[in-house]
Amino acid sequence: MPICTVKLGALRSEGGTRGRTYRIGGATAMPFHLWEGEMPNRPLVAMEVFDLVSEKYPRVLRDVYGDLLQHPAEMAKVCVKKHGADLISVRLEGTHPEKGNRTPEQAVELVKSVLAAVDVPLIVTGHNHFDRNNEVLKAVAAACAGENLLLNWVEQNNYRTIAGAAMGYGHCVVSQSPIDVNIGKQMNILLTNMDLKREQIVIDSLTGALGYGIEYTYSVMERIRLTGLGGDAMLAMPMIVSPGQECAKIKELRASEQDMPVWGDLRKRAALWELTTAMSMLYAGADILIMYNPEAVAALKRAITRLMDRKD
Amino acid sequence: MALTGLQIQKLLPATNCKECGSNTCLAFAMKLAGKKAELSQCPYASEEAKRVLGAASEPPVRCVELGPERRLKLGGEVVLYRHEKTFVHQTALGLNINDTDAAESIDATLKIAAEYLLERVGEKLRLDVVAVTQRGTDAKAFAELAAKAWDRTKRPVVLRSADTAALAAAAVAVKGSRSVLCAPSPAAARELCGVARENDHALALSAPDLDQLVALATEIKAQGFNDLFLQFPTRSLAEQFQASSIARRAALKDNFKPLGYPTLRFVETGNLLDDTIEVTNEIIKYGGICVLPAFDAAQMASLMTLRLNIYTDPQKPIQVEPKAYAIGEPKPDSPIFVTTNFSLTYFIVSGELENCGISAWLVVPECEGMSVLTAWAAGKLSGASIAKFIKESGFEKQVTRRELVIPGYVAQISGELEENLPGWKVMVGPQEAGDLESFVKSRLQ
Repeated sequence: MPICTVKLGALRSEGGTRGRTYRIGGATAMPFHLWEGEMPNRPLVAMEVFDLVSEKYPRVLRDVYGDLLQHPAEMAKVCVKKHGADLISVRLEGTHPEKGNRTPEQAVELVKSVLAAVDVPLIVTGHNHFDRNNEVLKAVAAACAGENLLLNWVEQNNYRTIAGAAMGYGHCVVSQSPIDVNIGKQMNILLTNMDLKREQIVIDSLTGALGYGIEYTYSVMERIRLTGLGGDAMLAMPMIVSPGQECAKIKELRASEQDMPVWGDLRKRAALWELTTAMSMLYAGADILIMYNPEAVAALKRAITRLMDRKD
Repeated sequence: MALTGLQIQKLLPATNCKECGSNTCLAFAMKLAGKKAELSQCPYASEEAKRVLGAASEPPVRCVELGPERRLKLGGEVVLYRHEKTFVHQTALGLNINDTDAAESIDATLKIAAEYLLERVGEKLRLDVVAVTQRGTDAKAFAELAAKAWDRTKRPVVLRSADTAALAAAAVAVKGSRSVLCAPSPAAARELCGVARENDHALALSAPDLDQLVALATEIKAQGFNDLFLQFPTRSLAEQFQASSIARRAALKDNFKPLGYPTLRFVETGNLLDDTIEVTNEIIKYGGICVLPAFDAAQMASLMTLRLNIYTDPQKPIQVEPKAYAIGEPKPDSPIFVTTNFSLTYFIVSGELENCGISAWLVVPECEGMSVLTAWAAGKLSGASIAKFIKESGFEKQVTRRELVIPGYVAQISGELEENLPGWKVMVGPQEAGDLESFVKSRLQ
């Protein structure tokens, strides 16, 4: 069975305001096995902007973006125009009551400003404070009705409000499960039972960074994709991963070369660690990779081109 | 193909002599089928049994052994996806030197090849091979450099040259190292086969296309030489990925022997990130030996870590050492958290605690590598076991704080834990590690 095709974004003629839209999924074979099946849509590379930059956001990435971090709409523009991001994730962590307590209205305003700044489809990423997250994503979904956003994320204990908003206002959702094939499937059964279409669901089986349990995610993704291709409709959806966010948490993006000589130059390491994390997820079946490091983005895009177009 | 216990029983003497350690020949046959015993344990095994079982147990991808005492093993793989069982012998990583490189640069690279050491989750990660490439014209100098590389690193050498005579000379110079001769063409492979055999080295084959490579491997094997590597005739990342994938599948699913050998690949794109992509492809998609053009510590750290992760045996949950881990720079009165020693659990909890920006102790008692709920259900994470660990490890004396935070999923053990740890207070933490930050903010600060 082919992996379900999910459309992201909507043109003006379709009720949105995007200058381009994408399709992901549709594969009939394992990733890049183009000699035995089809992969009609190439994996996409997203980059992320923030309503409020966490104080823990690593220095090595602050040095890359500088003041842009405080100006998400401008940063989105740079990510698309200069770094080649296929789409933009707007992370609304600042609406968490303990991390900024920004209001749903402010979140809507921000998402609107990013929509105005770039013409690519958007991912809107929330947080784990269920009540506030639901309030925020619902407000964003309503205010951006018809844009076909990718609402990131719903999980087993919190999905009804956001999935309902996706159905009501024409968006897609990320169905998250904790590195577990069965819960991943269960999640999609719950969502489709609500009458959300399979074509509105993207799976996130939760990434760990390289060196932090990535082998579990890697194998869970391979199993999800193999099971989906094998005919299980509840696992035959495209997948999304967040190498940028995961790598930003770890000490490999912080320790100086002086402190850890065997880890090498910090700036290079930041790019290589994120790239290597992303590459493994790409081979395991990722259809969207949300990245932070522009050098890693450029290299990852080259890898995708080389694997899809079959020439170097 | 694997044989069943009953099929194997028919090949055994049927005397039930018990000398193998099993009570009956059938019991021994069942153990053989489950790969829990070896035929050599049966003193009366017939030549036919040895032949049949030998052929059946020959892995679909041949295991080629290199280096002193044949310590470096490549191939021997049995699955396409690591979750089906496990990948067995990890991709061997190495650095290349050229005969035309400056002497200081050669010395520096050889030193790294010999001494590189990255420690991660208790594993010591090192470089496995060193490659020597002839780009100049002096065959004698090439052989001397090969001998130097072997002498300095004590690692198998991957010898690469367009000149068959130079390769033969180098093969003699590194005799005893069980190295690899890279034959530049089928004709060279035919010529070098005897040299490899006489000097106890392996041979890496190459050919203009995959069909000719298959024909060459078949031919060399028919001559009784079987310590082979395959260098695929590929010009792009996509072609390499395809060739490796098709070869592995043919070997495993169709038992197609000519493609059932480990691979060898030199990576040299001229760009650090693109090289990394190529090596990533080798590590994830069945690569045998992979040689990098130069050393970069940041690149090597990420590749070694990827290799460690991909080749971790998924059948055994990796465990972290049971102990009290320091998060940040904890003091005797810093907060104390408890979780299990299942590595994934530990990584997630320690990562989230680091993310909280506090200094704390993370106490990880022995739980046989199980996650929180599994360990609790199996009786490996109980009030008594946590208390015992805190006392016996000396942690109780190390700290002044008398308050423990336990995972929310095992709230029910808090009473038992307080009973077993007089003077301590137990606090129930969040169920999910992702909620630790809120918990720390609202309850501990």
